[in-house]
Amino acid sequence: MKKLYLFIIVILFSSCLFGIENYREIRLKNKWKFKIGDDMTYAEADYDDSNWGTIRIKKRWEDQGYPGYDGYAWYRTEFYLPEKYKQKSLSIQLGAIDDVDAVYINGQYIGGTGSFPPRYISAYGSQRRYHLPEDVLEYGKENVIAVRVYDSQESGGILWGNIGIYSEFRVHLYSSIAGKWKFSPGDDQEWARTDYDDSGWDTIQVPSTWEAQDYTYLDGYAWYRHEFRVNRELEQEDLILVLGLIDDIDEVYFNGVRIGQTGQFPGERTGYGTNHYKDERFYYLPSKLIHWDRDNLIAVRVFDTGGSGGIYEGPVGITTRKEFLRYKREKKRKKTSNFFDELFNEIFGD
Amino acid sequence: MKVFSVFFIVLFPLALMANEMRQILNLNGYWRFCIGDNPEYASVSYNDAHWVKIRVPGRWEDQGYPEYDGYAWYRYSFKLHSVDPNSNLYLIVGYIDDVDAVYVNGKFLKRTGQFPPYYRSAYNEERVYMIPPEMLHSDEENVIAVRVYDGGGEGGIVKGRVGLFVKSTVRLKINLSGQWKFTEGDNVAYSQYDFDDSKWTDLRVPGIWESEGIDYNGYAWYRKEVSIRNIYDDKKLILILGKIDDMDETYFNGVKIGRMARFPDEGYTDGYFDFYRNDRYYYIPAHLIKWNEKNSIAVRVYDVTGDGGIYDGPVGITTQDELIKFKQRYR
Repeated sequence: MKKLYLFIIVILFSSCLFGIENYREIRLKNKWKFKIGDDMTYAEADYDDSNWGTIRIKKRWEDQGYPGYDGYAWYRTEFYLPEKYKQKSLSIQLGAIDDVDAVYINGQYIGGTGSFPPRYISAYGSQRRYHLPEDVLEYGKENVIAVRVYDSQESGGILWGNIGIYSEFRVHLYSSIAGKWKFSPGDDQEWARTDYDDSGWDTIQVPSTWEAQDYTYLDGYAWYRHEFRVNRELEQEDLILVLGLIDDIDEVYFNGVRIGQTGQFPGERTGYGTNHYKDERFYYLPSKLIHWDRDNLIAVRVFDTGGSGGIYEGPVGITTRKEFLRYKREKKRKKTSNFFDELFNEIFGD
Repeated sequence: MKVFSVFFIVLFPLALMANEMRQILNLNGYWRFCIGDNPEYASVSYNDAHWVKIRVPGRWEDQGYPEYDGYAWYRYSFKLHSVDPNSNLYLIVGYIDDVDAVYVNGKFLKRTGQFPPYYRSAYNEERVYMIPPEMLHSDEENVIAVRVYDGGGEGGIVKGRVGLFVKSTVRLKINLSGQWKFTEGDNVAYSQYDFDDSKWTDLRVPGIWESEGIDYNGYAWYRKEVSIRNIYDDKKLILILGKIDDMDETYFNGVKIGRMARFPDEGYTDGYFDFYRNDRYYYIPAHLIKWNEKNSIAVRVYDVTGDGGIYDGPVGITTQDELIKFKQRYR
């Protein structure tokens, strides 16, 4: 009996203490190319930065020849990505950046935190981690990272934290539906309908918090709508809709039919206020609802109890029930084995 | 060390207050004064020339009325050059011992404490009264009349700031303070765009409904029509409803755009009673706006106990850009 308790405690600890992603696969250089000022061509993969200065990351630029400088600056470097990472899910971590950043891989924007002037909002305390979409990466080649930074006062630059290319443990998607979706604050059941006209709606990037996309003060209700095709080759499979992570509560409609919910909306008697922003969203997609020959409509009603909100992290797309089950098994296995790996490292050093 | 932290806790809010409240007219000085009680003293046309002059602020016991308890009135006239109709004006009348009712140009503004027979003192509260700019006249005489009741001990406008203040708040594009339609009770139909609210009560917003003589706790609805011109560069418009006691759910043209509430029919048992402190900012989705036409705002409010309603401003519509500007200045 005692052993059982111990086992349970070990299992509990493993899930609390250690995440399941976060393995650094590729280190990034310590010295990067650097230039103060701002020019969007600096983001481009083939921009010639050979006459730029160099700078160390994990150290403010004030101590590296730019005392008192506030404003825009760019960092550039590259890293070699071996072929073996094809099919693997990767993210880039850049630690804490003071104050605002936007990150480009091979010239393509992959993420940013905070907000540049004129609607300046600092995010100097938050650790940057962005998913690396497979279609921007060059396997077996050098990949160019360009980081646009804005510092409003005092320390500026890529300051501290875990930096590198990390493996991400994610469910495999058969098709991604990330991208530009329709978006509106507010709440109306009409918005679930397929014949509702959303042409006047705003568009927003999914996944990403809505605060990062110019809905700075939005808490409460909002809806997402998106139309997409489902690949006919999947017709024989049981399909699962993957909606990544949502802050906080969501209810999902597919072609006008409600297919699932996570959390309780205000007004529903129980449990309002509990946290669901770390629950991965998987919704079974009944095949009889799917239009194989035309667009399908997904409508997601979201309620955010405060702080950041929205469909904020991927993956977002379609997978099969088989892959979903494989992912769940793998995840369970990783949770336990990670704990012992970490414990081993802790005791015997790395 | 502890002393320091107490120091900070005390100083910090004060510093913020000082930033946000700017005096535009000092009303310290000698006011007309008369003991006794007569509703005519509130009116603009009443001739107070024979009244004595008394220093404000200051207790009346020190100014020729030792040991006097009971009713008395203060009156003061002043001219204002211009009143910005979009400003957030506050009349501050210091600390009043014990109960007061303030009239501006003959119209009742607000009361703090309770007059007899249900006497309740409020000697410890600073009288900070939001005043709709349209209650004041530009380039004309304005009259403030204050009815005071002292239940014992010192009496009068005894201490504190006395003047007209402008509170820096976010700049509104459309100011919605003023008369709103109001009803007690609860009905989903009240949220609808076309609902006919013509028979509802007129109620001044912001303000607690108790000060308009509505002694009520429970559900109530507010409605207001607004026309929005299509002139804003930043199309992210935000409806600001100030602060609401206690909870609300807000509809724009019949569609729910926000809420800060846990209503009784949702089975609350635990304490969600801090809603009254929160600022209400709700995005108005651009696709819901009928540009240059009538739009409807409907606010369902639930008041648990005590004061109720949309009680503090600003109330209006602004752009997200203005809100960001304001937040950066005062945070």
